[in-house]
Amino acid sequence: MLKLEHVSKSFDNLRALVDESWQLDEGQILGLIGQNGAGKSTTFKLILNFIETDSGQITWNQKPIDNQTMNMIGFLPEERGLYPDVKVGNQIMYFAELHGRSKAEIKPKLQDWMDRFDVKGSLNDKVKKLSKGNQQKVQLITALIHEPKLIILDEPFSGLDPVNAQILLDIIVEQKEKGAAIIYSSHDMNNVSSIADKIVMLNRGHVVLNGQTNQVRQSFGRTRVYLESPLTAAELSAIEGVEKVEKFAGGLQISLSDPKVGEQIFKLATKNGYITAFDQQPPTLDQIFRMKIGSDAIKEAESEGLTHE
Amino acid sequence: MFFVLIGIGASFLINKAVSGNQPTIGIVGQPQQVSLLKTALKSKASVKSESSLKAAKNALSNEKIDAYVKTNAGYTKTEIVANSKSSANFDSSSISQIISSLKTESAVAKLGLSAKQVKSITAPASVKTKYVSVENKKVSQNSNNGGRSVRYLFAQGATIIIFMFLAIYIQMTGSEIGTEKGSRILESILPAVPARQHFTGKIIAIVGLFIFQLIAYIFIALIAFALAKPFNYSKYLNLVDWSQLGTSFIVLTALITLGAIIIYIILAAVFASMVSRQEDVAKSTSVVMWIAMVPYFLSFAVASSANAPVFKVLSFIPLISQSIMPIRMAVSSATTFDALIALALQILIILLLVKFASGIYARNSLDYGDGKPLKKLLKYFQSKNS
Repeated sequence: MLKLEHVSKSFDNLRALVDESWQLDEGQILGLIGQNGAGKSTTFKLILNFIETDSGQITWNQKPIDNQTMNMIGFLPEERGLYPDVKVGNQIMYFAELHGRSKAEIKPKLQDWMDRFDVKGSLNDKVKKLSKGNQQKVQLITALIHEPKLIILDEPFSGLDPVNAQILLDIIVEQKEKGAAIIYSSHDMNNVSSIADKIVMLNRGHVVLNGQTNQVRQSFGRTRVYLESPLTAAELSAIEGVEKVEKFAGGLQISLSDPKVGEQIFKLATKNGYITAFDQQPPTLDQIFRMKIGSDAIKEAESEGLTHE
Repeated sequence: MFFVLIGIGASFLINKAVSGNQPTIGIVGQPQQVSLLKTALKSKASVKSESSLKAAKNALSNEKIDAYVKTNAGYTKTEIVANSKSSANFDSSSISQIISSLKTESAVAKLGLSAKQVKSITAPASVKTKYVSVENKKVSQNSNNGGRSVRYLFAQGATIIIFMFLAIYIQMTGSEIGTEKGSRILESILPAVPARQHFTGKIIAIVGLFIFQLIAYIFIALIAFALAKPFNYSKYLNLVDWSQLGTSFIVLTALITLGAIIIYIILAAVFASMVSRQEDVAKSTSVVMWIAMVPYFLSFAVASSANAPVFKVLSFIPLISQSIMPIRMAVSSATTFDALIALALQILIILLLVKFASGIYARNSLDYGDGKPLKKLLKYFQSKNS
């Protein structure tokens, strides 16, 4: 179990993390979300012992993370980097050996990993010969080849097309089923909400949300309704408890102040019989992110591509 | 190679500046005296006859000659007048010496001695120069008096080779570390290997490469000697008595060289770890290159002043000792014990440097700020002291 307890870190006058606490069990996936500069990478650096905490402690199975524990960690940095003139196979083997695995142990697994990630290139190709996307897949293999117990992925989906992003999602879930604890940060909330068991949301170094993904969403109540019916936006806006009505994907997205208003809308919408869509859900992670981080931050986040509808 | 050329060029310029142009000397005296002085001063000056003292003074004031020498018939009274502002290298003591010996020859001839007797009187005394070491009021013999020139040549050659290796390894280390940091590979390595351990491993690997390179060169040289046997190269090699070098001299020079290379590799690694972009590596390691150039150029001045206090001190200082101690040993100015002290100081500095440098490396390996390396270095020491 990975546990962060009251961790704080400052750089000169910048308070990068303030009293951060959360924990992650084996066989769980945690999505770490927040804007650029929220403290995600600093959190990773602290877990990896790249930098030291000012206060608080980080433990893995009740012990501080030491050199021995590091062999059980797989890390994909946000800024990718491989030796361009080294062959793909040798490169993967090198990183596996750095994590205490032998060549004999790793060599038979190399082609299997290349096939699972659908890398377009051979083990004998130099890394610089591969496309950027395939280089990223090789980098992911170097982070996972030694079958780590704790996997830290900093923006693993950036640069991957939807097909390859799905391959990665499947591999992350597979590693979870094998018992690994996985933390990853992502700009794409869909990727977070689809597989993360837990989420931690950071805003300017503070934890603003922490919990099971579904529970976090449920805690906001089923205040979002997607509706496809003869009712107009004006008719819906006139209902007490309706905060906002927006056009969305051919229907209407309705924000409620009270989940009970949903029943009233359902009755109104179906008074003449069949309608094509009525879906009452808690707010999405995107919407929660917007609510928690504030309008100024959202403008900044949108310019960075951090949120989407 | 570029720096070696700079060194050769600099020493040529220094030599040229020291030797200067040959002076032109006018002689006021009898024609026979002019002829004798012309022969005696042939290698040192250009000599011409002056008809009178007045003519000589005129020539001097018109800068047609750099000096004039007026002497009487028996060389008993001689006057030398030289232009102090002349750019020519005028050496009055050697002229005085020549005139003194001409005076002796002239006086001896007047005594009516036979040619054999004259030769016996004027023949130079047999002088054998021997260098001894004086320490704690005790005089000890230097075992290798005859080998000074061979040892000096070896030491000076070694200094140039050391500098070439330093230039190569400073550049190589900088590029290796800078590439790993600049291309962000380090971010994938450090989760597996702690920064301090990675740094120490890297230094050991580069030193290992250097030792391997040396062994490879020795191996290649042995093969080359074997292949060149039919060309009877040994007669050229035997022109030098290699045994005069001495094992301790060669071994200590090699060890001091190795120590210096390790120190400079560590420094290059520290400076390279402080840049954030690959393209800045050369700029940052150039500081180390400049430091390496100082002892290299100093080495050309050591042989003539090996006992000067400044060189005595510098020959023990790590970073500099590799260029000075071998030359001091070669000219018998330093003993084997002195070299062992210099080596011990190098080892001490290497141990301290590895400790501090790995800390600096760990702190800067993931710092991509644009600060200047020296500023970052100062910041590290400030934070250490605070």
